Amino acid sequence: MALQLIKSSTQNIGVRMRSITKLSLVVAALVLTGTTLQAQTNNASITATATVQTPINVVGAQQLSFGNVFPGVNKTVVAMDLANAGRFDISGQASTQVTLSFTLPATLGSGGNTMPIVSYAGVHAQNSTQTGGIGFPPSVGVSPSLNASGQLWVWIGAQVQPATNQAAGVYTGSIVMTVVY
Amino acid sequence: MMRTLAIAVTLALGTASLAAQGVMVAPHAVFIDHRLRSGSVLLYNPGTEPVEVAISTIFGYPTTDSTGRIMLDTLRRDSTVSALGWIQAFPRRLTVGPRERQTVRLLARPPAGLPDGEYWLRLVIAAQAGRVPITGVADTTAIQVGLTLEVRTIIGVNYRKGPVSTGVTLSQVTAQIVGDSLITRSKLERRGNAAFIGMIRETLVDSTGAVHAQRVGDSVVTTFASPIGVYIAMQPRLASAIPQPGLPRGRYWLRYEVVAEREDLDPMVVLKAPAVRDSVRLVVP
Amino acid sequence: MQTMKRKWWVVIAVVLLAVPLRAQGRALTVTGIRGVTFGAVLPGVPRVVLRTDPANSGQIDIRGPKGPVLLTFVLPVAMTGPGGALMPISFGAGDAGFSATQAIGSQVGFDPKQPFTATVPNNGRASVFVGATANPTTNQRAGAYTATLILTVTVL
Repeated sequence: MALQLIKSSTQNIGVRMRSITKLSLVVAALVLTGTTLQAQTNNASITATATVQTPINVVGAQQLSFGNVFPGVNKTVVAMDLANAGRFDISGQASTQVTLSFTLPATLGSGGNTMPIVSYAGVHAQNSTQTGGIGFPPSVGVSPSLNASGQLWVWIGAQVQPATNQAAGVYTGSIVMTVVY
Repeated sequence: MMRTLAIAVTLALGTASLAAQGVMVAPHAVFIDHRLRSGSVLLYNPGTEPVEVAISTIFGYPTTDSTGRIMLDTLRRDSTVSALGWIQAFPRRLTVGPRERQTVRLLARPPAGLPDGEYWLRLVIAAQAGRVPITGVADTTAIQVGLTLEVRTIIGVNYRKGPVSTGVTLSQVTAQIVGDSLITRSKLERRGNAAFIGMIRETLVDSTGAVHAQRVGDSVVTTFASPIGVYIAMQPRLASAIPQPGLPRGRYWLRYEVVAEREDLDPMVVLKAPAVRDSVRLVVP
Repeated sequence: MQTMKRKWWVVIAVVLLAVPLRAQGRALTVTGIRGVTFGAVLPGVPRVVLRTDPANSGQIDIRGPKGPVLLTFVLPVAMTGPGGALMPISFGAGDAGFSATQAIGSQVGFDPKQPFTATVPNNGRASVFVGATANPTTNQRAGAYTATLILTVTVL
C-alpha cells in the first residue's frame, strides 16, 4: 500500500499531499492502535513453595497420678491403669524403631519432705487401649516400633511408700523419657 | 450409660488439655551441607500451654545390641566422624508459646583441612511443659502424689563435606515364626563414607508366589517396611505379626531388601545407593 | 522526489519517536517479584502466609497506563512435590491485596478467586500482594513442593 501511494504521488502535488496526509494518518493510527492493543493485557506468574518436614512429636500426655495416699499405706498405680498411669504419646514415621530410656526419681518431694517411689513398670503399645501391649522395665529401657500410622503409646506405673509419719502435702517429681529417633 | 459417656467426655477433654506437654520437632534428621554450614530445626507447640525447651548436643550414632535392639552408641566421643566440637545450636534455651513455631539454628565451624566425608552428632531437645495440677481431693491434711512427665527427643545431625557416597552390604538374613510373630535378623554393613539412610522391606510369599499379609499395630500390610540408618554396622531385629488365623502349613520365602529410599526425608538428602536383597526360606510345620 | 523522501524520513522519525513515547505512557508490564513462601511445613499443621507478610507473601508489580485495570488470578489448588505428591493450597477471600503505592502496608484487599478492578495511579506503578494457606495432610510426604500462580492484568 505504501509503495502504491509513493508511485501515485509522482502524478501531481495535490494528490501527493493528500496521499502523504493519508499515509501519515494511517501510520499514526496503526502505531497508536497497535501500541494500545499490545498493552491491553499482560500477565505474570509467581510460585508458591513449601518444604514438608516430617516431625517427631513426643508428648507427656498424662501424669502418673496417685491421688490421695495415706501414711503407712503403700499405693501402687500399675502401668495398665489407663486412667492413672503416666502416659507418653509418640508420633513420627511409620514403623520406625525408637529407643526409649527413662530417668526415674527414687523419691518425691514436698518442701523438705520426701517419699520413696519404687517398682516402676512400663507398657508400650501400638494403640491407645494397650491391646497387644508389651511390658518392660523402664529402668532398662526398650526399643519398640511406631505403628503403621507412625504412633506409639507408653505407660509408666510405680508404687509410692509413704511413711507412717509422712507429713501432709503435695509430693511431686518428674519422670523423663528420652526418645532416640 | 450417661455416666460412661460423662467419663469418656471427661477423659477426652483431659487428654486434649494435657496433650500440650511437648513440642513437635522437624525434621527428625538434619543434613548440613559444607557449602552452607548451617541448618535448622523447627519446633512447633501444638498445645495450649507454653513449653520450655533446652537444646544440647551429644555425639552418637545408631547401632544394635546383641539382641538386635537399636541403641545409640555414644562412647566414641573422640571419633574422627564426630562433629560435636564444631557444630553449635542457637538458642540453647527457649520458650515456645501455644501454637507457635520457633527455629533452632545449627551453625558449623569445621576445622581447617577437614577431609571430605560425613560427620555426625545428635541434637537433644528437652521439653518441659507447665506443671499439671495434681488431681485429688482438696484437703490440707491429705497427702497428694503426682509425677509430671518430661520428654527428651534425640535426632541425628549429619554434616556432609565434599563428595559423599554410601552403600550397604547384607548378610546373615534369618527369619522365624515365633508365636504369631515373624522375627527377622540380618547383618548390615555400611559402604562408602556416609551413613546409609533407607528402608528395610520384608515380604512374605508362599510356594505359589502369593503374598501373605503382615500386621503392624492395627494395620495389615503386604510389605513390612521399617526405616533404617546404617552408620557403621548393625544387626537389627524386626518383628511383625501374622494376622489370624496365622499361616497354613507349608514353605514360605521371606524376601528381604534394603533400599536407599525414604518418604519421610527430602529426596535431596537421601544418598543414592544400589538396593541389596536376599531371600530366606521359612517352614511352618 | 527529494521533498517526498524528506517527508518520508520525517514520518518515519515521528513514528519511531512516537512508539517509545507511547509505550512509556501506556505499555503494560506485569512482573512477578516474589513467590509465596511457606518455608518449613509440618504434616497436618496448616501454614498461613498473610498478604501483609513482607518476607513470605507473593508480590507482582504492574507498570502501565494510569486508570482502571482488571486483575484476574489463575490459582492452583495444590502444590506438587516429590513423586507427584500433592499438597492442597487454598486462598481466602482477602488473600490478595492491591497497592497503588506499591507499599505492602497499604493495600486494598480483594478475593483472588474473583476478578477485581483496580486503578493504576498517575505514576503508572502498582503492586499486587498475595497470601495463601498450605494445608498439608497428616501423612504428607516429605520434600519440596511448588505451584504456579498467574495474574492477568487487563487495561480497561
